[in-house]
Amino acid sequence: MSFEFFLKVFFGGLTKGSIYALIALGYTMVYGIVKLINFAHGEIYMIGAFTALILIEALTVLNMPFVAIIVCAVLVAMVSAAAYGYSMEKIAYKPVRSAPRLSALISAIGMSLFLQNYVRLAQTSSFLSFPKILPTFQFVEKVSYLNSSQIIIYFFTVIIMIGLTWYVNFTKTGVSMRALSQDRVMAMLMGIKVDKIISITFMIGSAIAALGGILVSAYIGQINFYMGFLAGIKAFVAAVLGGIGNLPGAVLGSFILGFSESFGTIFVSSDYEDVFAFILLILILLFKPSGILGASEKEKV
Amino acid sequence: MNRNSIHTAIFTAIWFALITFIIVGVQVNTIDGSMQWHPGRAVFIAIVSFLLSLLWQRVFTVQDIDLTEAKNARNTFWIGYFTHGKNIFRKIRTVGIEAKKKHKTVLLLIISIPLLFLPLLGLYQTKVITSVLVFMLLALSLNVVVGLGGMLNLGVASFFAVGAYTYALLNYHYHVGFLIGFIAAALVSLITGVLVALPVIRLKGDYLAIVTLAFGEIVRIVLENWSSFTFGPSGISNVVRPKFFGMTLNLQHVTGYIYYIAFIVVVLAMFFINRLEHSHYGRSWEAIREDGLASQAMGVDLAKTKMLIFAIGALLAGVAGVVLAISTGYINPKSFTFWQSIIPLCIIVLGGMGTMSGVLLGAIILVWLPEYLRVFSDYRFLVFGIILVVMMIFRPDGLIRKTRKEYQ
Amino acid sequence: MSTRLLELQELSMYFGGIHAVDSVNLHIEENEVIALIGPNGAGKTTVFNCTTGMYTPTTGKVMISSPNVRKQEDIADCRPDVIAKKGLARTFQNIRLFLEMTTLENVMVAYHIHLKSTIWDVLFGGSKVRKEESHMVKKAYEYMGMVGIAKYAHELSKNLPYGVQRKLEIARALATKPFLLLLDEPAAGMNPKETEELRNIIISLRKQVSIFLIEHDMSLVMTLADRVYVMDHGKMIAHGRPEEIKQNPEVIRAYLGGDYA
Repeated sequence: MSFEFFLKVFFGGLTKGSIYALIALGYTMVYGIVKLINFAHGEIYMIGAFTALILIEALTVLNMPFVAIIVCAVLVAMVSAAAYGYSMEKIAYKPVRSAPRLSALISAIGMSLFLQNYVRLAQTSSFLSFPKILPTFQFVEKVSYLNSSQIIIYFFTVIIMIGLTWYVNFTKTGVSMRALSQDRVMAMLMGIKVDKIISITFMIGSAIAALGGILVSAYIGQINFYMGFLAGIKAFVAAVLGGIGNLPGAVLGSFILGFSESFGTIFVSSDYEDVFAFILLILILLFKPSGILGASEKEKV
Repeated sequence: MNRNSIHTAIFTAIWFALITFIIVGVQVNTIDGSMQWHPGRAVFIAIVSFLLSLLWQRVFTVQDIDLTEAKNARNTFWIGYFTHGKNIFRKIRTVGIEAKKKHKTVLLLIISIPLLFLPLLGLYQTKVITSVLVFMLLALSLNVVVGLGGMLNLGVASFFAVGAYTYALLNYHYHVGFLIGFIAAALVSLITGVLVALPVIRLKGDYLAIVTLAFGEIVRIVLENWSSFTFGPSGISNVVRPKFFGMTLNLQHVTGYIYYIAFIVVVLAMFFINRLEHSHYGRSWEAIREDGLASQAMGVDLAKTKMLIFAIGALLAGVAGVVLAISTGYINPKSFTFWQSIIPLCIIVLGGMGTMSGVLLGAIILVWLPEYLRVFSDYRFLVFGIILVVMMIFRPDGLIRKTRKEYQ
Repeated sequence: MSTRLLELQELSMYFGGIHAVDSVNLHIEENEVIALIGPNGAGKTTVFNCTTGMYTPTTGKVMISSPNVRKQEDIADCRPDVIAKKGLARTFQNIRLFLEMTTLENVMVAYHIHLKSTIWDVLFGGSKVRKEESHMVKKAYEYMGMVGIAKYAHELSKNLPYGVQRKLEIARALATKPFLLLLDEPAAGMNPKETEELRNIIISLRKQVSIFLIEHDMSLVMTLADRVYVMDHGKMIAHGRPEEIKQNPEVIRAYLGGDYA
């Protein structure tokens, strides 16, 4: 295997990992706070991409400057995704917050089904091509193992990771989120507005996922109503790998998954690429269910 | 209905119209770069949101009042469940019918007469009901694993596939007859269930669900790609229909024959599940659902019991697979995707987890009805999604509630 | 030697850096009522958990010897259900009943380990299973009667008054026919009348099963226990008859702080 080939696979894995990270972060934040696997999170990722696509097409007609279109589309898509996240939580998750976990899980599946088909019916079930909105950098293009889109993805992923870490550790809301995820009753007693914090968590997670959706669609050049399903499952796997509820864990798990898929498909046909995620999931749940960076929980008798 | 609620409803309507506008109001075609505007849809959404918001508010403010009355009612066969309310909703209240023995028998008779003579109604009808029966078996499988065992299995399609492919492959390679094929497929499903259960039962609820989902996906991917063994996307065709005491029947007769086979299988399944449920097995299972640790302390072997439950679920799903194989004569990976795992889940969520009549009701609504509402088939999964969410919020036990058995 | 129903040898349980239980030695003979007392957090419930299989002790042995099978064995590694089948049953400090099931059903579940019907009997048989079930119901009523809760048989256990729930825990544990019954703070939260009823129940039970109890109610401990073990901060600090323990300076120090010794 030549070094160049290795680098190509490496950066491929890094890219996958970055995208998974953007989705997994939202997953893990929500799980940490409401102990719910938000099945519909992948759908938000997809909706972000669709929203951006539609806006780009619409604004192009209006002859706005290219950069303005992209910025506008991305921002609106992220805000819109946040709105979807907020609504989703209020409709399908808040009412079942005190219900057994099974109910919340089924509700999440229902929401996921609904959103998928909502987009499919409103738009189309076929694949749509996504315009090339990412800038190209000449110095990168000369290299065979790396391209500009990937650099952009890394750039945004790093920004989000840093931003989120700062937010969760240094802002009042962020710290409240952490408090809520550890002990809800106590947080309430401390005066933290539970509903508001939960909503904010959903909104932030959704916005980030939407960004991920836009980036990956621009990278691949294609979107489809079904793209959220598999991406969502894999991002969930990544979050569990690293330790669900744990932000650095989500990132770690995402990159492990990304590299596994990238390097794994050297040996096995790429048809089986998706299987890696599932096998990793089963393995980690068998040996360390709390994830790599997660803390082991002992049940108090 | 006061001013406040109307304000909220208007606000909600505007909110939803806005956030859905981009996706719903504008349809893009990237091939020719055209756009289609659908302002009408946005208005539609606004109106629907407005009305639903009113309904939502009504239900949520008044819901608490009659809950005690509803909870104390025993042995009731619920058809609808709304709460007391003023104005528009005054008329609707808790509706329940005492499901005495005779009511149930009458209902059973009414349903069974047409079912017994179904093949006379025609090929198409028979086929439809047979597929309903297949999904009922899958729903029964989930009834056991989810309803009785408390383990959310999101990958029941994988055992469905194991049963179907085992039968079809045995039939294809070795020309195995129906009876032997059936037993073999059932056994293989059972064993697969045990194998999958081994790692899975130790997991907590959410993780167990995801792992079963993952397993379901793995099976699907393998089915599609391991062409040398499973014949890939093209599947296996010309599955030989069962012979009637050695005679090969023509299409019309064999469809009826298969229907009766399916019918008997479903009835037997229900019978056996019922027996288990009302035995000490069922009681242990309920104890495990309530408190796994305490039941262990009382001597219940948690691992073995959960494995048994899972295996039974796998067996039922595998049997469903055999019925599918013989009824359609053709199987391919498209019949064993995540959707086939979700539909049975919807059936038991809607119909009522843990009750036989609930499974029947759910299957009728979700599998039989869409056959006649083909015009709406596009909206099928959208509606499923809505049903799941709505049921979980308002009636997590399903339409038909479980009743407690009394001991003397 | 082998009449000791239970013998904990150098039992230790470490969680991370904390010695919840540190080299505890304890034994229970037949027909005894043994009490384990100590301030909150002393490690008493952890000792129970190690004994009944909920935790696997870090070091040490849990030796049991059933009166029927006079053979000692170490059950430290055994699962809770295996231990229950061997003859140790317990109640929980925080009530862990099967809330959505009736009193009768709660007790019946514990009786399941005595049933002989197989799955084939259940699926295809008839009278054998029916006979077993009705026998089980009868026995369940007996156990409920021993603690005086038979009239609540068909009530959902979540609807029971607190005192009745605690008694149900005992009845349920009894249904496993243990030779040693471990009661974790059975009198917690009970009013004097209920405590008195509990005392009578324990007195009547000691004829058929030996009892190992954790308790804070000193009147109960002093009047019921043959011997008392005292723990503090994971260690066993005193052991002896109730009268001796009452005056033991270590014990007083543990409960009241250093100045009163």
